[in-house]
Amino acid sequence: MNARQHELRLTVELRQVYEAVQSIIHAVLFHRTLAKFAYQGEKNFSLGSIGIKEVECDHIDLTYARLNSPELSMCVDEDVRQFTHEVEEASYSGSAPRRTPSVGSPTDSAVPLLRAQIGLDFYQKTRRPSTAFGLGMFFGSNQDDTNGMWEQWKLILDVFRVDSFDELQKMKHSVADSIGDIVLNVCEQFNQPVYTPTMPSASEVSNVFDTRFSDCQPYLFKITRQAVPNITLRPNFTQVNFQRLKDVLQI
Amino acid sequence: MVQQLVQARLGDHIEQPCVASPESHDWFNMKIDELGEVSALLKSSVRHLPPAGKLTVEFVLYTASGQFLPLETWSLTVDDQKADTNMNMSSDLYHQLSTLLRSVTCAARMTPMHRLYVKKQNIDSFIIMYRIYDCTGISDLGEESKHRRLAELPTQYGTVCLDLTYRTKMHFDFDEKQAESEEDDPDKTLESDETPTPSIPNRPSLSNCIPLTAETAKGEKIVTTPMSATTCNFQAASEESKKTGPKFILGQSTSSEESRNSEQPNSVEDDDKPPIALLKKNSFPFLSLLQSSYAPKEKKNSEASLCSRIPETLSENDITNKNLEGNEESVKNDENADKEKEKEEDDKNMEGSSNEMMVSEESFVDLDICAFGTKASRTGNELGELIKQLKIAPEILTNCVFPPVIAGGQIEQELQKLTAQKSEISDFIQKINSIVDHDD
Repeated sequence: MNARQHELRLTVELRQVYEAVQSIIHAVLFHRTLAKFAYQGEKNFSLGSIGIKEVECDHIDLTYARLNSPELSMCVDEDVRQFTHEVEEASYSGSAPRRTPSVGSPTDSAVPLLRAQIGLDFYQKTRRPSTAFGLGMFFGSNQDDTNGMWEQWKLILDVFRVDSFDELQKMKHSVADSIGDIVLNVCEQFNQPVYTPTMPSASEVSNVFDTRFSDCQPYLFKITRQAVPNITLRPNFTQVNFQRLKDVLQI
Repeated sequence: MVQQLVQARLGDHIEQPCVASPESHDWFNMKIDELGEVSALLKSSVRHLPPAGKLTVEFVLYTASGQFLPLETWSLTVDDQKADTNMNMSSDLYHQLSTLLRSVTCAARMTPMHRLYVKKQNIDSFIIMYRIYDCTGISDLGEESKHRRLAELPTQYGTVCLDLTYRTKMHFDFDEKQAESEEDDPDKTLESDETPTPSIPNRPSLSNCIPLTAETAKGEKIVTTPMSATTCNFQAASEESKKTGPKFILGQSTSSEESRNSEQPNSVEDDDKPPIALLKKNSFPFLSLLQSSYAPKEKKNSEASLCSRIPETLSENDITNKNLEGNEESVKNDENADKEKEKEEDDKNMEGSSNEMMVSEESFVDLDICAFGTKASRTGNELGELIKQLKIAPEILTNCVFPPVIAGGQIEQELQKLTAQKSEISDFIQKINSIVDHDD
């Protein structure tokens, strides 16, 4: 399946990473979440209601609206905090491999730190033939639940550090402007006639929607973090195949 | 959509819970508080509901110095020339419109106006106002204004488009001031060349914008006006205010339980550009009701309105007195049998307001100060004084005391006195005549 891919770029100060990522990911998720389904029979269902919550940022001059679901927020928050931690760690560690920002400095004395990336993928579970499933496992494809990806959002952050209070204030406004533009762009994308999975029957609802949450029902999604390039961590082809063969024989 | 936009600009923290139960029956599966005053304004501003093809919501900054600065415009249009007949109307359209509503919710907080002004509204500096009209023409938003088409959804009835235009350059230009002053002038109907006046004949003037701020800087809560949501004819009121100057209707009425329990109606009218403090000042119960009863121009409004109950020929004092006495006179003057039910309801409201006034004389005096605007405040104060004097006046005035009744036996004596005096009077007249003749 060909997934729609959207790439968003943002220049932020290190202290703004968490709130910037939260605001954009929640904007996307807000559009891709439905109210909780209540099935009456196999195909008939009715929906509850979703509510919103306004969140005021501390380091960005911005207020954004997100879905008022504590469970979903906690789930997103866990990933975003981990991502923020990785970015901070990579920024302060001189030895860690990192990409440098590819954009110009937002202020006069801003120090470029790194370029990080976080993604939000929407997918649906699809049935595959057993042989393909076996081969997939053998050749290291552990994407058994993401092969039906239908939409992908990629947020690339150019992270800088500023030391003066004035520059930080300046970035509070400029980053808010940039996020405003990004979210308006995102809204434009959502209101076009594009593909979304069809509403499933009761037995297949978990193939399309994430049913973990008690008060809302987002499409199946996955947050992928890449604060630092993971080239060195990737095993080579032989290592992977040897490991897979070993696993299969053990089974 | 209008509710979401307006509520996003109130500056209040919004938090609505998600409800898993399907019994909530919220439109588009989204919890949105409904402000009654916004609904009423929408109904009165749009001639056909649902709007036939176009609906525009415009937000304007109103400064303490009386300047208007248009900031952003949201236009919802339906192009029936581009219809998609293959669309599944039952579910797809509903789902897409729900997505559109979410986009409005998100985007409403991402514009420069929201970031710069919404949370900083203050009676001493500026407030945000809005107007709704069913035409697509928009105000001039400056040189560097941005336009975005947030939605373009093909449906069976046409393509639904949502356009957002917003100002990025936040300062007054000379031309804008001129255009605004011309627009505010009731004698001049044409705006400057830059504004598309000919294409937007139904657009209310800037002076008819509605303030949306909920709280003053001092934390004074602006109260609700459920009355205005149900009975006031905004269209007629706005037409009237075009003749007399800006009209400001304060506060917000809401159908939510939160505000229904605690808030009271409130509104302020003004003939001139009012100070912002006056727009937000009051918390008197039933103020809208009382004010609409007192305001002379309101009584000329539509027959359906509360004010139409008061005959136009009555003076302000008469109106006041009749209100105090329970409006019995106005009931007698009603000849139209079809309106009796409505009038009975109004009478109840009037009686309620009268009772409210009787409770406290102090509050009644406060009412007059609040109820009348700056230009009419003098009249209002005089009325208040008059009413106050009427209330403390003695029951029997000495000048009006009738002479005691003359008993039957005393009549003859009185007649004799008269006949005796008659000869004296005739002598006096003869003397006068002789003097006059002598002079001639």
